[in-house]
Amino acid sequence: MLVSLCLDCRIVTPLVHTADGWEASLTRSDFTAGAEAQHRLRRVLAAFRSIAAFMARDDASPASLRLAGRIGAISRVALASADGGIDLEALVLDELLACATPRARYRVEGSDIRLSGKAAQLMGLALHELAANSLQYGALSQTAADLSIEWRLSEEKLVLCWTESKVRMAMGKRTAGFGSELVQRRFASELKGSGEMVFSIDGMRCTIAVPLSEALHQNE
Amino acid sequence: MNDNPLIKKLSNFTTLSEEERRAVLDSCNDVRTFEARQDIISQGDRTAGVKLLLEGFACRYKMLEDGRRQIVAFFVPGDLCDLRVFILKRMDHSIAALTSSKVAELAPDNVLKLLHNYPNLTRALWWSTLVEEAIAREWIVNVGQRNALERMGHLFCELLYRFRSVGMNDGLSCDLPITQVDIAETLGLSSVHVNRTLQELRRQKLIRLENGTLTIEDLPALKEISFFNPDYLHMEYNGSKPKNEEREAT
Repeated sequence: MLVSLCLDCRIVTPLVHTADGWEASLTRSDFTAGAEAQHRLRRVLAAFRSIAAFMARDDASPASLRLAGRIGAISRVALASADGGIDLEALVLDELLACATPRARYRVEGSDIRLSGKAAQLMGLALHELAANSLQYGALSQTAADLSIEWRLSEEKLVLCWTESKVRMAMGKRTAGFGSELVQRRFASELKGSGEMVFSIDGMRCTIAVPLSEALHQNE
Repeated sequence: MNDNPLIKKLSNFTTLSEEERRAVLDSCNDVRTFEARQDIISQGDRTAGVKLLLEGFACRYKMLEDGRRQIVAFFVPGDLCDLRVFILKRMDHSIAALTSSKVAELAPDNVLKLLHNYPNLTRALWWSTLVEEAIAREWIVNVGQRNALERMGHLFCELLYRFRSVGMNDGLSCDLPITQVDIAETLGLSSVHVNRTLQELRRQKLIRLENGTLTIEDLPALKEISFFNPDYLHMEYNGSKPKNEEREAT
């Protein structure tokens, strides 16, 4: 059913089933303007959401519970108009709005940047994974902790730092999940960039770098 | 007589008889003016008569002890600030003028008399109460599910439709004398996020919000991105007489 839906809308490339959940690849630039295409995309997203809801009802594993969040993050980027690129600050704020409580302490700072559709797609999902992890174990789960999300442009790349501090870190072995996989591999393989996550006793710090040619929306 | 915005609003639902219109007008004699930002009635106050906004723009809000405020409704001319409020002893929320406003106060006895004597008018007032509740439901969906751009787009579409239903629009423009802080307190967004989102709507050439005037530049596109469907405003005429008959008569 999934594949036929995908073909029908001609927007979504086939799904890849990973160990950790579903990963759908939506490319906004393939998405021609117009209400009809928008409606088709919404119907596909509705189908995915209903599958996620069904899975979560069947088994309450963390993976199935997080699927809905991931679909939400993918849709936020997919449904945003990418004609003029996607504003990075809005992407960050939207993700925090969806994940964080209004009283959470966070700081968001960076210059005006319009991301390309492709970069926004990966960045949106990465921000979602970081926020969801933070909400579960990190700064967004603890009132005394701080979170700062900052980015800057250098001559050849965009660097975004997600820095958590004053976090009481949980003991135990950390297993690499979908989020760390995404940050540490896909920025390199898909955007010629890099992503790293460093855990210290004070909190987690994630640094993502993307070359400007890939990161920025062109022709504006 | 059609200048009364409540009569105008109810005419979206039914045709009021001459007598019913007269009865509404007679209940609206006690008119007071309020400055922008002044409370019309505050949380904890004894409830009084039913407030009807005649001119201006107002909001219903709740305030937390530490000063955070949530705006839970907007009132455009013709809106009643709760038809049945006098049943309660004290206000559990506040109502404030956002711009200089004229408010009629309908005494509880007058409201009860209207409801007792005019069944058609009563149905129309019930309709307007149901629409208010439908708007409140839509606002919960707004803060619960829509993202920032969708929330703001939805609010602006709704306000344009509501102003239009009482003839207070100028094409796709309407007076909207609110600040970005008001918008933030309405949509549950930070001021930074509101600012960002306004910029994005402007950049996509969907709206302009300048000098207290909202202009929707592309209504179909704005409705589309914000999942706006005006059905919940129930503007469909439901009365016993066809609407064009009324138009001919007036």
